[in-house]
Amino acid sequence: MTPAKIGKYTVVDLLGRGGMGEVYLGEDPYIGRRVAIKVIKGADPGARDRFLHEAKVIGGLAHPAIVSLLDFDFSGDEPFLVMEYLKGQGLDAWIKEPHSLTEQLVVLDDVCHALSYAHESGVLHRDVKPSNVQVLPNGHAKLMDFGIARAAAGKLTATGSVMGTPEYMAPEILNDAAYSPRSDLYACAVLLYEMFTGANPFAAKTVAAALTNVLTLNPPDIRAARPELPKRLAEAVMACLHKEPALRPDGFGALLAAARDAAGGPPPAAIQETRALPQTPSASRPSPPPKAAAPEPRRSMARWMWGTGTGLIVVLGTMWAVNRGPVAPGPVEPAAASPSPEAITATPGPSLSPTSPPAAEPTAVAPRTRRGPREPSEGSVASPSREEPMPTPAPIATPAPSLSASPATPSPTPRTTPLVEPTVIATPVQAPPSGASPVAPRVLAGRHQVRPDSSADIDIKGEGLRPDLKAVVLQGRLPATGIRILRQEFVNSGLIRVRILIEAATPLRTYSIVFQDASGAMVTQGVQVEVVL
Amino acid sequence: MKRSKPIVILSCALLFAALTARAQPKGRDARPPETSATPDARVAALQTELDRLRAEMAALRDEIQRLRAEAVKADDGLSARLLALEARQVKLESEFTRLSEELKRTGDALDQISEGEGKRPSITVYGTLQGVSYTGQDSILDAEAFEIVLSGRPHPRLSFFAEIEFERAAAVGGPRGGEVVLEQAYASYSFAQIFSVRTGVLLVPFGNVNVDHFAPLRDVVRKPLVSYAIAPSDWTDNGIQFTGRRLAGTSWLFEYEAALIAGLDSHLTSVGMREARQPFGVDNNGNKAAVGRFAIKRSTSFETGISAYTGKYDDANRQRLNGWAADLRAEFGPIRLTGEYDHFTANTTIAPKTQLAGYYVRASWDIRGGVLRNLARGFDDPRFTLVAQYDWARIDGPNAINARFERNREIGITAGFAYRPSRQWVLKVNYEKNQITNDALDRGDRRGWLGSVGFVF
Repeated sequence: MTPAKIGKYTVVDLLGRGGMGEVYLGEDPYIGRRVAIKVIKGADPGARDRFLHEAKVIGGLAHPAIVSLLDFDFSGDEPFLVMEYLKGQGLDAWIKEPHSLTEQLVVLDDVCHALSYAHESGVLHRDVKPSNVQVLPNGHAKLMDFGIARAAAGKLTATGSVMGTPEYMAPEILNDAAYSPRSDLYACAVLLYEMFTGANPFAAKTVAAALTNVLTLNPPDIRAARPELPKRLAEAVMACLHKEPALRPDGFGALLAAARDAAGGPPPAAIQETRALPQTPSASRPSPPPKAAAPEPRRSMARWMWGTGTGLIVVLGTMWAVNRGPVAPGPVEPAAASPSPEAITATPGPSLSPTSPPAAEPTAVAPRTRRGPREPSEGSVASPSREEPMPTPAPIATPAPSLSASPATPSPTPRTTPLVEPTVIATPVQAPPSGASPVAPRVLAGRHQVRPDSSADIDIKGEGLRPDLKAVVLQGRLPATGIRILRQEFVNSGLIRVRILIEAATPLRTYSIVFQDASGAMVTQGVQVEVVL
Repeated sequence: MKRSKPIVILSCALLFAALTARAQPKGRDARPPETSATPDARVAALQTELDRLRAEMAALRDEIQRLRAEAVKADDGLSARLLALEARQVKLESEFTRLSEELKRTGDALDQISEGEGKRPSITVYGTLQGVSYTGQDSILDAEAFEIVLSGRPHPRLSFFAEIEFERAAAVGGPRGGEVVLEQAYASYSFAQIFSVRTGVLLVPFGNVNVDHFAPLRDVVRKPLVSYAIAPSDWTDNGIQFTGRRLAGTSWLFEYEAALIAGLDSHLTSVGMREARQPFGVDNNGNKAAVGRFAIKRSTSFETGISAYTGKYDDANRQRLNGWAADLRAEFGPIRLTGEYDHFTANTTIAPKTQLAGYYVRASWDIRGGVLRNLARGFDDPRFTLVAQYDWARIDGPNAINARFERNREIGITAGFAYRPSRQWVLKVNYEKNQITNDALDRGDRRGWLGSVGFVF
């Protein structure tokens, strides 16, 4: 029976049910936010421990491409997890539909950055597979289900019981259960192989056959099934599938670099930039990007060497010349990043139990139409059978309409006007298809420190952001003096980059950047900009 | 109860003003703990209530429409319900109007508060505690400085900036020494972005160390040798300064600072120019020195500047001191390179010209993430910086005591780290090795460990 409330949350619907627990669609009664609530049934201490462990692992990770834990509590004696409720569909279903390479590269970029960040944070996922990746309506992906993740520390050489899904298990796990970041890399490569070709290279009808394939079968060249795949990208994926862990690349740098190369440069970079702006402070600096994925320092180094070699005067001239050229290439919006309407679904997740047979893994769910109109309900989920494992809440990205300013809402400060007409560099983006629900603009709270007598780029992340929004700097509720907006660059609906100039004698205090719509009404809350010494 | 709402709002506003709390515009999804006590939170709450009312009214309208359609063939009971609903609609519209007016009044009050706060000075403080242990010397703990920075912009074109230093924070003068120095205090009038005038106590625009002299922001404990012995940082003077900046596109910023100041006096010696800084309100020769710096910046990642100084320094107003400097700061990802070269030449009547030159080059490598995240748990952006610096300075000039012409050299190598859990606090540990030829310019022939804790709030 579906409970009316779990903790403080009002239960709206049952999203999925498995042998070990249930996942509900809930709503925070105070702020109206939709959430996914995962509860565990029974008193199996092992399952409860894993449940608590999952909470701790996810709670310690803050990355835009990793599902966020919002709360953990007990309802009576039963623990429950509250996670962001994600729209979209599982990658396992997503890859069965035709998608462009650009869309696939967005997913690659997100998954690789998420895993890289988790590894940097000392966490191994240990169950990377398509059903544990949720593709959002905007084309970005989020990694979820850290139920069997473990801290990397002390675990790199540790042995333990075998967990995971056979087709995605690295061979060394089957040999000696020695997990390492390269095991996650391997699983990620299998996932990518499947995404690019549509087939898992080790899939078999039985678990035993699948395990045999993992141990003995060298997967055919990915380009045999996908000839148009760029060679470098194909080689990068294949390199990660090496049976010997030591012969796989160290980290995700090669994959990301190949993806950037395949995309012709800007798209993955743009994606990375959006990823670099976190939902929480600690995610503001996700794992340092691999060297190959950070071209900017190389360009700066080249300029530096050139400048010092030819003298200050020449530097001045060159800078002037550079300045007269295009300021910065506007990132190309990946096609997949444009919002598309999608049925809201929740995907039952993987098993938390090491003994759950892989064949019992639930397949997702309700019929969905990727580009079809939004369904009237928040989503539907086919209930897995009793034998199915614990479902994973399909995440979130809740637009939280109740938190967003209604277009009809009168602005508290309608007379606010920008000090300087910003130069809007509008990046071509696809308009949301008709029928898509418009998302009210909303920015994530953030704080940036800048110094007087300098300029700075402020990345403002949110959702529902639009090219027509205009950034203004406020002191309190009035236009600020001493800080000017030089440029405003719309990257995508989740990111607008604002360049500001802080004049020399600007008072050392906190200001805020907000967005106005065309009517001059303030439509978002502020991002703090603190002017410091 | 309803009448009390404006009073509550006004009370909040007054309390807000009294505590000089910062009113930041918050959306309705602002974090309650940060905003619940502010008028903006009240606005957000009103907004939420308005939204609720609006939704309720919309639902009522739909219901009324539906009932009207049915009422045609309905009985009296349904008509009565319709009337009740219409009455409810009228009441809601009245409440909606009242709340809208209340919201407007609250907004106006907040605007007034913001305007007042915008004209109010801001206060920032910073300071350092140093621990120094050189070979052959007793170790020292030295609360070197505590500084108060005041800034304000009461008008878009008028601003002021002041920095008061309590050095060796003890009693001023007397057996415990100590001093209070007005390092900067100027008012600025901006005619245009390209031209502003500052008057008062100015930071002399010469080299990147002097114009950005805030100790906690440096990666090493001590200021570079060149900025101690050659350009006497912190180098401040009374005068008038012209500043301006011009944007080239939106990435590059060209800036100039040019000043007329009292200038340095004749206390140029073979160990540096620190004693040549004149007291405020004094000029030994009436000649005003001209000094300026031209800089090019790109965001926070690149800055280069050239500086120049000229002025007569002797009491007879005959001999000229000329100097120039070039500085650079560039970031390449986590690597940051900083350097400055200074050169001064002082004409003399009979002796050889006094020549002063020196430079420093510093490389810093910022490390973020990893173990640091655990070490600095709870901080947003912890940073661990490995740093190495090379100093060199040369002065060929007269000995202050016997007037003999000397050639003094000093070099220094510094290595260490700086740990910043946040930008507001820093722990620095350095190892220095210095070597001199003839007289010491600053540190002498010493090696030693230095540590410091700095803060900026």
